[in-house]
Amino acid sequence: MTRAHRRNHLIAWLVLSPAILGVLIAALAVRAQARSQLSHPALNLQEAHP
Amino acid sequence: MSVGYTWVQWSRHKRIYDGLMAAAAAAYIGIFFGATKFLWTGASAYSDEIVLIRATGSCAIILLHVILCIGPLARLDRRVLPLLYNRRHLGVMTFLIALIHATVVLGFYHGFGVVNPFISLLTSNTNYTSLGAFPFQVLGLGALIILFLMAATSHDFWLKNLSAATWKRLHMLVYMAYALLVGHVALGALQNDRSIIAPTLMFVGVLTVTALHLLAGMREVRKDAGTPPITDEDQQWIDVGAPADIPDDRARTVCTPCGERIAVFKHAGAISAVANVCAHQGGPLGEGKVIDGCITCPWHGWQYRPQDGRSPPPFAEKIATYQVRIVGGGKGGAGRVQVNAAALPPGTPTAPARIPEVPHA
Repeated sequence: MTRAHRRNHLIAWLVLSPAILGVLIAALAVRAQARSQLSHPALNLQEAHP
Repeated sequence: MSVGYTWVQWSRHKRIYDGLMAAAAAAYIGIFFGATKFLWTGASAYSDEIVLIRATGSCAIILLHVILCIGPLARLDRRVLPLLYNRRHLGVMTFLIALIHATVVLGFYHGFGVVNPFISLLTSNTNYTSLGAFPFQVLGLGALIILFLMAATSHDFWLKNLSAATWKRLHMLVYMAYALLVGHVALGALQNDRSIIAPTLMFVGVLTVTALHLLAGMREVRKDAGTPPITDEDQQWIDVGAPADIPDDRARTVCTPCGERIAVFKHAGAISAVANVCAHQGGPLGEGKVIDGCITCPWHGWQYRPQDGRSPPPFAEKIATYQVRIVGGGKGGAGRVQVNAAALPPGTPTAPARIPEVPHA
């Protein structure tokens, strides 16, 4: 690979890595939040019908 | 190489590789299908379409992880290089499996209404501000379009006509496809999956791919930083080392002040130097070896003569060559190999520097 290619690859991964990991962690956090709400049905009912 | 055009460039080696890969993918989908049908029965059973969607989707994302690991692994460990040789065929297979996945999704979830399935896919969910209900299928469609572009242009015909630099830039879109697919899986399948296995595997996969690419990239930066000293006042000659430091029929790679690399080969008692970048896909020639008198690229086996950087007839590719000299030899020492940092035009013949024989004591 030329120097420009090597640099482009590295820059691409320096930018993409945090973005990909960020999306994955955010999605897993949303999933965990949804699971925890499902595991407390009484609380959910209260919230739904105060 | 550049002569002739065939639909698929299969060799015996590639047929075996493709056969094994296709059998492995079919076995994975079959086992996934059978196990799901066996484990979830009665009221909790899944329809055939849903199992097929999950089997093909998971197979495609696993294959994409494998493909993305091959490049950096090959830079970190030479033993992975044979996998690099067949990576494009694996990429096309991944696209075909992803296409089956998308076709079944389109038919099963969007094919029974009055709206065109493609319109339905793009308009049925517009919750772009909600992570929990994000229209993840659109992300999958974006990734599939990129994979299609890559599969359609994977042939060397396109590589030659688009030029290696443009082709490489186009195929770097696979990183964007990967990012879209991680979003597609994380905001889609993982939101509905109750087990901890799928999220864990996805997390480990993403960490592995990103870590390998960053590691390999950093290693290349360190290599570039280790530029050998310029040996003379006119800033032209780079010290490569003693002739004995270069293994027979192999190369030592040095970096020019402008950051490009030169592969300095030792073959048949002489030293010659060429650009480190293969004319095919930019493979690192300095990591290849001399086979049948020709420098052979470790990625796809393209060959060049050491003395003029030209591919042997009937092929017509050529790469830049560099002047080489050996200084300070005699009186019991073999001297030092030096290479001129100024590249000669591709295909320019240069006389290899003969290694002086060291008299035995």
